[in-house]
Amino acid sequence: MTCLEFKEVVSAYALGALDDEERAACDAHLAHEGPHEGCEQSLRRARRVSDNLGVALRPVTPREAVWDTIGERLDDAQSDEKRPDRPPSGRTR
Amino acid sequence: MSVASVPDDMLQPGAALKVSPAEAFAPTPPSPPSDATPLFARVAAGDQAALRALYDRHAPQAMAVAMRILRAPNEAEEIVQETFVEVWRRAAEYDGRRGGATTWIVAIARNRAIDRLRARGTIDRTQRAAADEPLARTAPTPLEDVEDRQRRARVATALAVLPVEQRRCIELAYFEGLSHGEIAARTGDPLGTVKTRMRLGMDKLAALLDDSDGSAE
Repeated sequence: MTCLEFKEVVSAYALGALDDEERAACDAHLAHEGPHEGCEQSLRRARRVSDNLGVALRPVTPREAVWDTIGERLDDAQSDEKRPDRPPSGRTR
Repeated sequence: MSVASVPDDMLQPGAALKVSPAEAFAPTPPSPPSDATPLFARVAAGDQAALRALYDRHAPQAMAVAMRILRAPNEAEEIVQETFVEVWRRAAEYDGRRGGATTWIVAIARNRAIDRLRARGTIDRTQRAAADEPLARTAPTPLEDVEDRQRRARVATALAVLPVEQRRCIELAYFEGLSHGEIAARTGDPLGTVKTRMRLGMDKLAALLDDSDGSAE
């Protein structure tokens, strides 16, 4: 993949819209020492756009019960950590 | 038991715009000290009150993204739960120099929601045709600050400027996690056309956002 080819697909790369093979080619191109022709800069610019898409939506406040559940899950996780037979790394999603 | 209402579809032309384009694109003043790094440091140290502060500030945006992707309030709320449990676990990884807290948290929510959408199966993802359904309105949250509103207005205004075909390609990639090929299958357009539309649309958005905050690289 050339720098020109990378920059042709960098938007799709930032959006996660490439198939596995194309994404791997982009990863390999970025990992290559170069010299590059503005590839990192193009990627930063595309990621900036991608990162902004999620904030264009109007916020929606979740029900209070959502936080309650989070609190319970954290309490459970912290309790697990305090048990001598349950290492902290035993936490799961 | 009530559940959260669905947000505006940001891509309905003009739907999210409460400001004029000139106002939306006005350069914003220097960012106030919104660096959330100290808050993340407290979360990493096990401070639940700090996590609650992040939740109050950012959960509504995470919820909006999850709702837009999954279109199911209960599932979106589960994504918000999972997101903030992940924030709790990974708070030490947050680096304010690489992006704001909203971006970081929304990215976690988006990834989790897309994963869940993919788990529903290919047919559901590639055949659902609800992307352009009009969605109900909901009021901004009290905690939303001016900076967030201006940012949203800038992005929404920029999106509204795009040709609908370009906007739709970007929307399908971001909100449904579809690849070029999957988008082509959904829309019936040639693959090359989809690739071109996505590239042109993203380039135009980048230019509009550069213009709006004077940070062109």
